[in-house]
Amino acid sequence: MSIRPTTPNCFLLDLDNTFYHYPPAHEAGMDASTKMAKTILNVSEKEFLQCFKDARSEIHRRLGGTASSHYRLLYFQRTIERLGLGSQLALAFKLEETYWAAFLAEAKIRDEAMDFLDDLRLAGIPAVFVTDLTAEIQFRKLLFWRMDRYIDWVVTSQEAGADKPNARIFELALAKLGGVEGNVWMLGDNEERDILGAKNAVDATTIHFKNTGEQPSPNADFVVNSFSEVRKILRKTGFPKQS
Amino acid sequence: MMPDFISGIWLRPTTSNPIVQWLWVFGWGIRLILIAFLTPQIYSELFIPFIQHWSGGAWFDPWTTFIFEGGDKSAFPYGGLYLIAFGIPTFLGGVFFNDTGAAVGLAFAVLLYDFLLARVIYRIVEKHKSLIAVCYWINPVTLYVCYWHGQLDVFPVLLVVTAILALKNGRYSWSGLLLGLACVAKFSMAIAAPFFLIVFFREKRFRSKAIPFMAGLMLPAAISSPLIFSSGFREMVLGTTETAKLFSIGLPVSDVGNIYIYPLVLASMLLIAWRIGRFSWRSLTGVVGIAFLAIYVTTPASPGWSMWWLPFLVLSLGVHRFFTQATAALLSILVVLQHVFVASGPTLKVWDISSTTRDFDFTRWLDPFIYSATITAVVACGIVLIVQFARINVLNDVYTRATYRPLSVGISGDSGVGKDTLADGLLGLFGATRTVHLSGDDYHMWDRHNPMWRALTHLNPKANYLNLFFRDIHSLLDGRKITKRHYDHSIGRMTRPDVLLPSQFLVVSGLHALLDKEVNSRFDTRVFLDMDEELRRALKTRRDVILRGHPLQNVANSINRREKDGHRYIQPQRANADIIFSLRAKRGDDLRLALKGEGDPNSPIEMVLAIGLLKDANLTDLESLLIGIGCTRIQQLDQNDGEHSWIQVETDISAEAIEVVAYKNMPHLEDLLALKPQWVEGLTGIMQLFILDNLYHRRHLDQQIG
Repeated sequence: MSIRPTTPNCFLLDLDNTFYHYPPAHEAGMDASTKMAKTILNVSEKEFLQCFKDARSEIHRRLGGTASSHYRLLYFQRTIERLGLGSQLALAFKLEETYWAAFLAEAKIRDEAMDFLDDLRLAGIPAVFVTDLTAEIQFRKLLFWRMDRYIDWVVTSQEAGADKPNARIFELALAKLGGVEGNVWMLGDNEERDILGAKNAVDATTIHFKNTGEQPSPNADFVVNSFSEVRKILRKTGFPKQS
Repeated sequence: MMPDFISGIWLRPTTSNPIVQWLWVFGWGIRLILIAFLTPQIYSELFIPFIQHWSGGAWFDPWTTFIFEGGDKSAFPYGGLYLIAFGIPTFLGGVFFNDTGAAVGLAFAVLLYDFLLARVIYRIVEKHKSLIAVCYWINPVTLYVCYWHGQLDVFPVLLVVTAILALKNGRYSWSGLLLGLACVAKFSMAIAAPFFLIVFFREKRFRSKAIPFMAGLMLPAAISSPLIFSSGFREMVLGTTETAKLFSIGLPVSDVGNIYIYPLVLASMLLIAWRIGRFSWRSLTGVVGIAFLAIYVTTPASPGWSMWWLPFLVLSLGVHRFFTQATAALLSILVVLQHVFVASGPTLKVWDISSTTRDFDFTRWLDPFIYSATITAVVACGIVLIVQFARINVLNDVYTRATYRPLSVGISGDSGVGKDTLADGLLGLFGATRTVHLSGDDYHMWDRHNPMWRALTHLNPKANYLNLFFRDIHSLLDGRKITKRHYDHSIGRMTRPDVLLPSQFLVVSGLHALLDKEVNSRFDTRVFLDMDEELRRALKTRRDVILRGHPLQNVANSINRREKDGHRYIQPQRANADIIFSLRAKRGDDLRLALKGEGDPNSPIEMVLAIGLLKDANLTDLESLLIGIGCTRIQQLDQNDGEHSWIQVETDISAEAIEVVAYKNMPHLEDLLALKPQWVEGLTGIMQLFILDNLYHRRHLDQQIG
């Protein structure tokens, strides 16, 4: 890693579990919606969570590899149905809203993550969030965290028609930038989806953001566990140049 | 990159700075080396003999029997809690490896509390967490006091600092209990207690929690009170020579008398703190730190006393600039130099029975002049830091400064538009115990049945004691009590006059609340509530015709008469508002039915809310956050009244979502709100949010806190 890395001509960024730590946020979201279900539906926590788990795997089986397979509204709709209560549209919405409110309240953007985005902005390196899940919630997250101030482009798997590691989503990102000549970089936490996905699709230089307890990716060009390290790598490439 | 096991166990995984991580490792390394090779003399000469005496069977009153057997009276000037905290590990260590084992056991107990203290510091601070915690962790004072000289003060200080963490997290009885334990463990920690009490008894927000806090605080004292009957305990613990140090520096006023410095300083501090009265956990941390630092610089302090202020110093440093931070670093080094040449040090550990003891005695290098110069420098640095902390952490604390005079919101608007609902919404946020609600209704000239109402409507300023109304607003904002009548809506009459005391928040609602220029200039936030005329008519008609049975024509006439006055007296106040909320019905059908006096009077009419904000208000953040949380039906309106720019919101947003947005948009908002703020769902919640946002920025609560 002492070799000076190639300068990036564009940066592809994964959002979930890279820019923030996903598990505690998800837990808080599930906790809030389970509590709500408990009071409204009069079901036990265990029963609700079991139905939720089954509902999610059912939807994954049916829609695997597409954005809708991550759609929480569908999970909650199916959970309520599995509890034998029909579709209960208003309640499904309510559970979803509760989930995301608690999720966003809990999720903490990692130290220096926003500074990194600012580095990219200053360096004039075009950056695209390349992210699975539906456009609505991803846009909402980006707005809520005010990342829209730094990043001009977003590609969701809903838009691309397929989840990562499908090449389409990466290609669409580059197409949005009007095609990129030179080095594409990818920052993400998932070995298969982000690292291998970007390598195979667009031959990207990859940074694996390794969360605590995970194995470092053997295929990534760099492995980091903090944004200060990401920034350090960026600096080594000669960026950000101050004009 | 730091291996996982290090960052995972010793730090939160979000820690990013590798230098900080390696400094942690350095801190651990140096501690383990010191423990492995050195035994502080006071361990082997004072603490361990006493603990061994205790673990040898003197379970209930080791103090008395220890003295009886000829032990050193200064061996263990601590209560039972210290015995539990330190005695058990020392005893266990002794079981495995005699005296050396006992010393290691004791040192590991110190290490445990030392580590916990670093973790608690990490938990308390909000920015640069790891960096600030590491400032404690590698601080020479910590290392010197705990592992070289060998004092045990880290334990009671840990309890006091954790009491602040508990306060920050809203665990009030725990906070009291921890502070109570600290005081029982070491009486000098009681210096912090009056400042906590000021928070609970002077700060109205916390007053309802004073009883749980006091219960926690008194419990340890109550449980350990039987120890008073032990003569040894009285002699060794209560009669400790340390107390006398408080009175050892004074200004001689005659041949026999002195003015004692520290008691004077402490008394002045308490008086000032009482006068300030409003504390956040941040300013409390600052003020307790000052109290401990003041005792250190105004008395011939023991080395262990430097542990009292150190964590508070570290906790408060984040908001300071380089000068203060450098002074703090210098003080840490000077403190070690101050003591290392005069206080006892450690001996080399005897792991091998055949070797002889070597101690580290620096006293032979003691130079009286350098020693005096060091102490002078310590006092100088201490005074600089006290002044800086008082300025920045206490007097200039964002919350203390923002609330130096009552925060006020004026709400005006025509009758029946929901002024009181909104005022209640604000009361729910700020807390009823520290909010005064002044209603314009209480200043109507006549009771409901007075014939004069046939000549004038309530909207006419002449039908109201407006001078009195405005004078009372001024009085409450100046912190003076007022005496006023109250309009009892249930009987339509004014009550007898009653006294209303000023408070931290003032919410004024009334038909004419924004009429007076001078009063307006004193409100922090001016709100005008408006309603589409059709909607207002519909709501009133529905209520009066269907529910109250009045003839439709009469109701229509009354509305018409008031409408004219509304345009003349109420509407002009719009121009004075920072925020205009304007409600209209979402669907025309609801209105048409209601205007005919038909339909279900209880079915809600769905509404949309237009919000007009002064042109310079920054809306982008709030708008983005609201969309982010799922309130996506927000749009800019192309509506122009010259002063305000408009957006329209249509939502059934939950109270929880409003809360998430509020805290995200306004850091440290919790200082401003009641302990359990009542957020409201839907459009009233949106109004809460926008008013709060305006108030928050008005009082500069958005300023950076380090």
